[in-house]
Amino acid sequence: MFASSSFASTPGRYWYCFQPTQTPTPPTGPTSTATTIPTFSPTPSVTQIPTQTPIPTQTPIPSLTPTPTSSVINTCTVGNNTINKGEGLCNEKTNIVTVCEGNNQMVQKQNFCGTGQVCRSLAGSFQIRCDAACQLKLGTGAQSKADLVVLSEDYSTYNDFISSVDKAVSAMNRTNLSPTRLGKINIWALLDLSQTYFQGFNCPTPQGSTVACWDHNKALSTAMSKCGGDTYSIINNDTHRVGSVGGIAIWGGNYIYRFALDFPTFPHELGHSMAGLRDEYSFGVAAPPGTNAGVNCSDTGSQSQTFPCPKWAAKFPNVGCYLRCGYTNFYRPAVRSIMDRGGTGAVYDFNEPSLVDGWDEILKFFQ
Amino acid sequence: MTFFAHRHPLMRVTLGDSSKRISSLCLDLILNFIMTKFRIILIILGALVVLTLPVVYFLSQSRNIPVSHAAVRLILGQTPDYRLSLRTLAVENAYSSDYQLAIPTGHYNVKIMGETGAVFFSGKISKNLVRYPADEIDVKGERATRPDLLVEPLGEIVLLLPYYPRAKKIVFFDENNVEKMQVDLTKVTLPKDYSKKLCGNGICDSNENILFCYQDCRPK
Repeated sequence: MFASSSFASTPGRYWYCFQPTQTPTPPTGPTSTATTIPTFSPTPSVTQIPTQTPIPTQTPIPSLTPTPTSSVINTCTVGNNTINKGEGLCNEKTNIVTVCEGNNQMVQKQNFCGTGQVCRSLAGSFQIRCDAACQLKLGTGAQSKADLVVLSEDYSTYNDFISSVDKAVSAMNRTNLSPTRLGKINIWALLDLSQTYFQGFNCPTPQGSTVACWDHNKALSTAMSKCGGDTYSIINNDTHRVGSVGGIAIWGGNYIYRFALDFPTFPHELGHSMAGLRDEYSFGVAAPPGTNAGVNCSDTGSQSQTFPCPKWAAKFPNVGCYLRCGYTNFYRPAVRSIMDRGGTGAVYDFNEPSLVDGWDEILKFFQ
Repeated sequence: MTFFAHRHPLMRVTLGDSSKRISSLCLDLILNFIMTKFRIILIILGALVVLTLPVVYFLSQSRNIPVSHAAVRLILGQTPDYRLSLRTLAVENAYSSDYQLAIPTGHYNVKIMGETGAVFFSGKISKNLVRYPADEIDVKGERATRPDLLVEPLGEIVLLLPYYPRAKKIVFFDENNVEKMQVDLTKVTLPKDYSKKLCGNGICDSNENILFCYQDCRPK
């Protein structure tokens, strides 16, 4: 850089000095400048031809029968297979890698892939693959979005769990939440098969009992600390079924059974646990006095079912007022919507009050 | 070089006279050149530092940034009549939640504040456990679950809040912004095993970017 800029601009000053430094041989006479030329030619020592030639000792010796020492030093035997040093087996359930260290020594290593990563099994291979523990399944991962973390319960392999999460995401995409709302949500799958959250059936509550319960604080804490989650869903591998129950929600999280992923259960439960929406199917009983109807139900009817209930008339002129919204004496805004009963023939669309007063309101601080 | 050596008469002369004199002259010229440039560079650097310091100071005062992958774990006890108490306070290697979801079923406002009352962070936390009826699929006959929406105060509230080294306290307010509780943060520090090298965990942290952690920060 120096030679090409300052040098060229003031040749008289700098050429004058630098040239002699490149002439190691002393001048022999006044006209000896011409003799300096040969020193600019490359010297033989620069040539590195010999070092580029492979050293014969490094060449493997061809042999039809490998020597016993070399095979034992660099390999291990796993069942009927011989694996190389550095290869091994990954237990996805425990995240423990049993790695070959040569000499038929297999060593178990917990957290082999490091913090925030897990080992993955590869079918037909003993190569150890590491992968991110938080797998983004929907969204861009941007920090400005709401983060939903899907947790696993009683799954044995990551592939099995991930296929369940993919089903859940697919159900989300089938809803009418649209890119406007789904674009504010990241859905992560946490690859950790070792945790359990289920606590039992018929769990006591101050008002009686619930069919099943799980450790909400542990689930929320795991979702937050591992993937920065704001809320969570646990997918149970159908090990703790309660009759036909497909999912249970509390505000802040939900517990979903695998079989229910063929239905709109995942977005339905998120309607509860994220957006605070109420059920619209029939509870078979009238609401006790003073019961809050929520944003998607109304405690007051209108002159006809095709006319919006009073609470929606101004904001949602196109909705109706259909009797039964959870309680038999409450009213719902549409004949069918996703917060209505699930199962065969269930719809995937949220009604307008659920979208605007529910989802939009909940997500208003996210981008 | 060879080309110029042939053509430059001055060079031919000096090379022919005395190499010692040339060397001394060259050394002077080189030192002179370096010192002149060095002084200029020093002056420019000095000016830059003088200009930058106030800007950096202003930014550090006005914009507090949480430490990447460090969270304040706070466990609060709550009585049935919504009185809060502190159970656990620690900083750990963990992500934190945004606490920006609007909560329809009762909440506290939480603020992380600095010495002068500057608010570094604010969010909402749920104060109730709200149970929705279980969702039954293709149910035939009697439902397995009771229909009521059950609301009860959470007995324990677990929080993972962002960690700001300059924060002094966490303050909880009710829905009417009446102060409920303060937690002193002056004694909490980063854990000894704190590590922010998490490239490859799937999350593009605030201290990572597409150049240095492509696997986490690539466009998705």
